[in-house]
Amino acid sequence: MSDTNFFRRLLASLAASVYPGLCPLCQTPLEKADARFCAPCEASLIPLGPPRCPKCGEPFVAPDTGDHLCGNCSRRKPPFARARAYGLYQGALAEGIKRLKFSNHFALDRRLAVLLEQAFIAEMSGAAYDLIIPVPLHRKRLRQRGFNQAILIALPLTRHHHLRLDHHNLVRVRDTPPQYGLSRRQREQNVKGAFSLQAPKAIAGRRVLLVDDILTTGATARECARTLRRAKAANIDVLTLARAGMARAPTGPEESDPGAGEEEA
Amino acid sequence: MQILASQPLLPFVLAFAAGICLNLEFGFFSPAFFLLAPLGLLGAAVAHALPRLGNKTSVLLLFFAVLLAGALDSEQEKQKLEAADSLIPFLDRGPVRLIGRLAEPVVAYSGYSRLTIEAEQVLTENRASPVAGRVRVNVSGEEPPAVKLGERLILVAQLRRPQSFRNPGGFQYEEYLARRGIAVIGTAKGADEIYRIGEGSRWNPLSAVDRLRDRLAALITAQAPDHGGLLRALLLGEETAVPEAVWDAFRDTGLAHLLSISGLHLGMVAGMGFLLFRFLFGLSEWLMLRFNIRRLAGGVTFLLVLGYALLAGASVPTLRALIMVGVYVGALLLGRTYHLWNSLWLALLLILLFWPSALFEAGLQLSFAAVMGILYLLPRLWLLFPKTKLSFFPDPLQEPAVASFTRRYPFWKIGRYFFNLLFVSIAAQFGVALIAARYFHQLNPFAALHNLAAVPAVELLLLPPGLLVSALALPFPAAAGFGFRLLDHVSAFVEQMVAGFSAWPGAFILVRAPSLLELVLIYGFLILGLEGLIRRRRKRFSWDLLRPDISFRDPFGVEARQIAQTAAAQRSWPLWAGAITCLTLLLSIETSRLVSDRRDRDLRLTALDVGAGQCLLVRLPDHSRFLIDGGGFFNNIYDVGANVVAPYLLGQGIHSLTAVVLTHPHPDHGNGLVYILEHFRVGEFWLTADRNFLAEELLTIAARRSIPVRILDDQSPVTLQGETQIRILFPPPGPAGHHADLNDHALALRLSYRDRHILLPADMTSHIERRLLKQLGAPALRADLLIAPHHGSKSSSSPEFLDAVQPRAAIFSARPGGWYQMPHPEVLKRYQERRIRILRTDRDGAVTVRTDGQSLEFETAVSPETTGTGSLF
Repeated sequence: MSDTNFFRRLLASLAASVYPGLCPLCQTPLEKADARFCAPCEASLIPLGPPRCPKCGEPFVAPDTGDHLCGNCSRRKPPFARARAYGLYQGALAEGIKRLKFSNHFALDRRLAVLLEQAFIAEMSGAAYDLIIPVPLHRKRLRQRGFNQAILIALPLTRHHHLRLDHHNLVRVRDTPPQYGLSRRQREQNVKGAFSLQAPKAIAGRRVLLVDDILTTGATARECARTLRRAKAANIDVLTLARAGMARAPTGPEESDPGAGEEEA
Repeated sequence: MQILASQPLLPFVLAFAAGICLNLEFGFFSPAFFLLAPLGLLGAAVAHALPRLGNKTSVLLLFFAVLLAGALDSEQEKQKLEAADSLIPFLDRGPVRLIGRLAEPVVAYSGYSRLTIEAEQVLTENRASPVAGRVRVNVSGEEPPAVKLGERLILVAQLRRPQSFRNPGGFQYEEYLARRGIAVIGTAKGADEIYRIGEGSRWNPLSAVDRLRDRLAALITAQAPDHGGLLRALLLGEETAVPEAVWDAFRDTGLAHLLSISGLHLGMVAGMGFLLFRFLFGLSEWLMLRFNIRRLAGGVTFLLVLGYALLAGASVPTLRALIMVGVYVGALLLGRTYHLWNSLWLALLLILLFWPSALFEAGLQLSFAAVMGILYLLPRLWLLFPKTKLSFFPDPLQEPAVASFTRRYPFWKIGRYFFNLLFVSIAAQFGVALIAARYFHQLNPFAALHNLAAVPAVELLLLPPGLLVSALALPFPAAAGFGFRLLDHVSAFVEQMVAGFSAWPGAFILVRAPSLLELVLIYGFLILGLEGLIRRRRKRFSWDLLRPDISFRDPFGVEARQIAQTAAAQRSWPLWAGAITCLTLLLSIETSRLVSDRRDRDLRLTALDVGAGQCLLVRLPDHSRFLIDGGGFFNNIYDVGANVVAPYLLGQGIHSLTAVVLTHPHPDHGNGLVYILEHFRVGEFWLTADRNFLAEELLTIAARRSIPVRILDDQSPVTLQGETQIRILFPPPGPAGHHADLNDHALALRLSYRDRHILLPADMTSHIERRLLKQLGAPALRADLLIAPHHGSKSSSSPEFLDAVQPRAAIFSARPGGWYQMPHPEVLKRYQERRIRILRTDRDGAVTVRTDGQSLEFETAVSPETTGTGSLF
């Protein structure tokens, strides 16, 4: 055993006595100091996988259906190639995103970023991207919040996979009211023309990964992708931390969970 | 064991405190034992870091090591105090020239200032002797001497050991000073006898802050002369700048915590700073797109809070709050989770590390108890109010969830602020009320209501503008001066409001100091009962708080949910049983105390140690109580009534007195009665016909409180209280002549219970003694116990008088070292020659003599020479 190891352990136990390992969501002590969440919170994470819509990633309930286009995508082809998310917007993931956005969170941006990276590796590692573009906040909202949560969770991804983060080309020009409580149609109307590109030429021919925290109906992601496509982006994929899974949650977040309304807010 | 996982510092802070207690209270540890502490610590560290050894072994080792470390830490504090032994040759021998360094900022009081000096040398006629130790010197004069922290100075002072009034349950002045490293005190005549002899070798970083504080204090005093004291306390931590009357009003309304800078103030500064920096950083899109500016703002805010804490001086509540804010900001910056309780333990551990004996400080106990009360009770209170709506809970996370409230009740945030404040005040009172009762003998039933008005006034109207103006003071002194002039009015408003509260009937009630056992039982009852109630009402918990889709920003909401979850799984009856056991024990203790007091058919007389002066408490067999004189200082800078007599009476469970008797209106007999007449239930006020300023003052209070007044003289009929006779021997009717000595017109009493007699001649001199002897004859004066006339002065206790009285014992209520030599050695010799047992309040502390009509027994509070108790027959 080396000396540095000894002192590192000592230092770690001192740090742990000041900052005990607690679940950042419910303050329950963690079994292992380096655990992400406590066991019940960890268990409430529901990572998404097949069967789902190969386009928008909408998860299906029946396990034996296999991947197929969902009704929505077969009616209107989405402007992006595919959208993927780490997990369902419920339990610890929902709580974590809320805390990230609305509280003076302590440990959440890094922990949630790891989840996003896991999803990236699982779903997108085969693809190549030139740019990561976070869904922007309007200036006013940014000032209110002080940060853009999409940037915070995308930062480690860009670092670890040598991708360029472009956070000022795509901007939100219209301060739209929160999507909370609106229907799918209203949401689409709400965000229509809300985005614009500062330098459309920089996008032309690029393979873009659009990143956001939640995807509910996909209205915001569609509008962003449409803006990017107009600038002739070569390929547009969407990666989010969470997505609303209407099919699996009997009381969908759109109706009962006000937090879900904060998508794109 | 979940509690240890989330509060890992709890066992260690307990171990450390236990080590301090064992060493300081019981002197448990020998020096050899101390070698074990570092060894144990090392062993535990190795054991903890080595992966093979069991975790339990290392934790146990560590626990004992920390316990020993606590003892060791307090031991070195003790040895520092013993350094002052080098000053012993210079004590009690007139003025000496003392050279030393100013160790603490000068504190100015009205009429004198307080200097704390790290002694280096004492100069006598022929040589300089090196000395060590901290000396606290009171310097007379309104103007404080112009010396700065860290400067070397020479001053002429009379040095002595501190001595407190030694009455059971009284304030331990020596221990209070010892905890501050001071074993010797002194007095200097005036600021002109203090000379600076250099800046000194050590550069003190705190002296720069000290100079800034002085400049601000001077500016505030110049611009806000009338009510600037409150501003100086709030902004600069100068609690002593607050006038006595304002202090009293704040204390009597349970608002004294506002005057010492603590979590409330630091929290306010932190909150304001955070909003400010967040706004400033929010102006830069560049910053916002790259960082989480909440983190940045948090980091910078901590620097601001640190600056305020430095300016405010490192008092225990300030340090506690600073450490807790530091842990919070650290968590923010390091991306760690934060636990309020654990950060409280860290604060306690760090403070005790640097000041072990602070464990016994009222300030520390109150400060931590208040926070513990809030942390414990607040989440439980939230749970137990099922009717309260979401809008009143601490910060719900989702903005949309409360958006509907905002629409419906636009001012709900204001309502929530006050609702929260009320709950926090109640919770803090839960923590401190009984401890405050133990130290200050009072309860403030309306404290939470007073806080509801006073906290916003201080927190919003006074503190933020005050800090802003202070920040302006350096670049724009003129603007700051105008600001302070405005704040003077705000401060006057706050003072008036608090004074108004203190005038409420029942704003505070005087209580007996609860014993430690009683404290444990009361808290046991309250906590077990509350936990039982929570388990019982788990089905009716506040619904909003448990809604799974709503989370709360601050940890109380999270904790309330945890409590609710644990409560659901457990039964309530074991807790009820525990609570009932505590209550039964408590009631039986109180009853037995009451019964034994009722059964006690003795006559008791207690002479309190009031320094130079007299204060006698007489309890007759029929349980009536008489307070004969109340002691007092001649210059009245120290209220003996409030600080010595009242605490003793309350400590004995006495709230009401059958009569308060003033033998003659001299300050050393009457000044202490002012507070007693003002605050106790008094049946009658007895005094002689003599009038002066003091007598008028007391009569005014009696008239205001409708206390019947009886003017007594030797023609007054003998008062009979059961089998006890109170006979008035002196003075003759009418006031004393214009130039007569009031001592020779003082009330002289003789108490008789069956076969025993007690003579209370007050301050009569020998020619009155002879006159009484002639008028009444020796048998009328004979007594078993004599209160030595005129404190044992040479003017009294003539041999023929003593031969006539023939007492078995005499009580001298005096303290040498004053203007007169009392008791006088010659007089003491007269008593000794007659084999009269001498009991002295200066040597023995409070002296109690009791008789059942036959036997006569005495008991003393402290006594190096007598055994402490004994029989006189």
